[in-house]
Amino acid sequence: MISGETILSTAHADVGYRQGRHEKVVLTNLSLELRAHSLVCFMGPNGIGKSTLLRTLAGLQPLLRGGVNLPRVEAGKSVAVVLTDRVQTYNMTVRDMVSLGRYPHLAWHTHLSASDDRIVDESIELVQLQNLQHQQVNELSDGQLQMVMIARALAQQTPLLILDEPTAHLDLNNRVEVMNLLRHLARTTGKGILVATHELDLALQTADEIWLATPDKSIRSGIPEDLVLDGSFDDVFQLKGFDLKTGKVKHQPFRQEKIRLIGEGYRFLWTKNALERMGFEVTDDPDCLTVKIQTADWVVDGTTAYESLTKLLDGLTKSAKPIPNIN
Amino acid sequence: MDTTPPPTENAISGLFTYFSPMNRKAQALLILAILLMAGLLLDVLLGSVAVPLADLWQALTHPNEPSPAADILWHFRIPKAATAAVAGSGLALAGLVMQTLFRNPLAGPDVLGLSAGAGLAVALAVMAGIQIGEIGLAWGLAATASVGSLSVFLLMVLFSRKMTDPVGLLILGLMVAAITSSIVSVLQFISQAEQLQSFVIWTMGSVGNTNPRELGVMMTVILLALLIILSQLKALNVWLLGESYVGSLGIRVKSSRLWLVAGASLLTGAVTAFCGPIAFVGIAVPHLVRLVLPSAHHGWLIPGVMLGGATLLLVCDILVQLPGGSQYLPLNAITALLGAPVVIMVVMKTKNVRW
Repeated sequence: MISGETILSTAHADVGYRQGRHEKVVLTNLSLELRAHSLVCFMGPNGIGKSTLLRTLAGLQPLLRGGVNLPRVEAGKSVAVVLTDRVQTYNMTVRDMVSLGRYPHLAWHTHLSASDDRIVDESIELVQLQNLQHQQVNELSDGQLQMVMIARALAQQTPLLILDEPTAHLDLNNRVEVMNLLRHLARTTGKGILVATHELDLALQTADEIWLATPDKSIRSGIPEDLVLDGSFDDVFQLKGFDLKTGKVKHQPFRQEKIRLIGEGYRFLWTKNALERMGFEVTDDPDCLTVKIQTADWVVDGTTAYESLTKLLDGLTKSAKPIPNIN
Repeated sequence: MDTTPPPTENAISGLFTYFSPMNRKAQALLILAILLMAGLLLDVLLGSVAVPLADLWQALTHPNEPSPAADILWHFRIPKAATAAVAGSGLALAGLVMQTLFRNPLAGPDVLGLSAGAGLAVALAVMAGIQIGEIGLAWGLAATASVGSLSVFLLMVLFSRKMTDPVGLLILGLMVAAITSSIVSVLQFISQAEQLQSFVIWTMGSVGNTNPRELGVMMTVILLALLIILSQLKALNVWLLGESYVGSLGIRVKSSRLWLVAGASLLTGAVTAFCGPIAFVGIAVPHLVRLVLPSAHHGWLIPGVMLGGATLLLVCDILVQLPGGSQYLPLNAITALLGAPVVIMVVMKTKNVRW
């Protein structure tokens, strides 16, 4: 657990909506804590109220009950947000957009001082968009636009950064880039960063802490590994066919045939992956079919050699028993 | 890597500064100002009555010598040109504010029903026995029309919370305009002949019927609205990102929206009270100005659309009274002719009509 100072804490907080006399509590009795230098991933099934909590913590909607403690109360200087709202602008450059982050610090005429300009420069550098800073925002790719919105939030220079699904609509490469950047920013800038995300695998590998919204309207928090091992993730997500403890998709050994695999390293891992995917069970049992992994080829039972994994699978499935009818 | 050129004091860096984006904005404003001057000049020089240039010059330089040319110039053409410029800038500013506030390129005082709301308020005032153009009632008329605009605007703000689709909002606005217009038609039907005539002429839009007092009232109200809108300069730039970002950047969402709604309603009300419901200027001008002014910052856009709006309405006014024609065309026929293609262009250009 990161041991920075506490940036955000809530005490017995209820969040939700109030409309007239009706009140819809989405998450209740939350006592959460977020520290400087830490990246917290906020996860939970769709529709459980992740955005509602984020909006409440960002001060965009009122708390129903309880308290939220933030270091600075001045509007726009304690929390910066990156939201899911689609931003489309005309005639606005990347630099203009990032400059908007300075607005809480500017007078009515929006003149940027030299130090404001420097902060804008630094924010653009942190997301490595220097080359694009005079580009029009509406000409950017989704991944670049998300980086710009993060830079805009950084320029606000707040101790807390809240992002709602920043990796939605991005491809795998951009998703990894965004999460790595957020982790890096938490470490180097000392900000507390709260990210709502669906990226289970990425969150498990990058977050310092996970907040897990549970169906009983509360939030479990802890380091990712603890929540995996104590089964919290399984409780919440009711994972189907994915073994969180190994981080892999579960395979049914539907061929009911065992293979002894000899080898090591990445070639061993990916050969095992291929065999399991094809329905073989990989064991250490010395009495069954043996596949030996060598530098150039795969040798089955010391006789037949295959020069590629594809040919090995072809050979094995042709000579294998017909797939038993499970039904 | 630092890609900015080192600051050197020589001719080449001077050229860089001259062609920098910053200066392209200043150049655009300069061009718009020159166009406005040309528009003013042409509008004063041209008219349905041909007056020799020498006579006009004589009248302009010697304002105290009575002559037919001086009469036309000082009592007709200059007030008319001034009214066109002021009304055009007011409507264009209202359009810009509405497009930013709703994040909707299809917003404008006419399409969202504000002009119609002002029209209904004025019609009710006429029914109550107020003569359009009556001296001494200028403030009352401006206030009545502004309240009419404001009522419709508040209704549209309510609608916009449920209807996030820009085209949907546009349709709602057109329906509100249709309802208010039909109420006006009913009022016309049951009103007396002389009231009816002044009102029907008013609905066609005109910048030629304002007296100096009305022009003064219109300018004062527009100036007030401009000050209100300038007080929201920061907020306007952030409204481009939407309501949530406005709140997160430390701007009070509700009060900011209220001030902007009030400003745009005053602009529409003041112009509509004296010139009638002028269509298409408010929606078209911001788009035309954005084509030449490369900025999303309202510090540039506000002067840009005010200059552009003044120029466009002057051009329309020149066209309604083309020399040789003995009659004036209705102003709204010309503004639609110039403005509607712009709206068509916007809809065709933007696949997804939203910013």
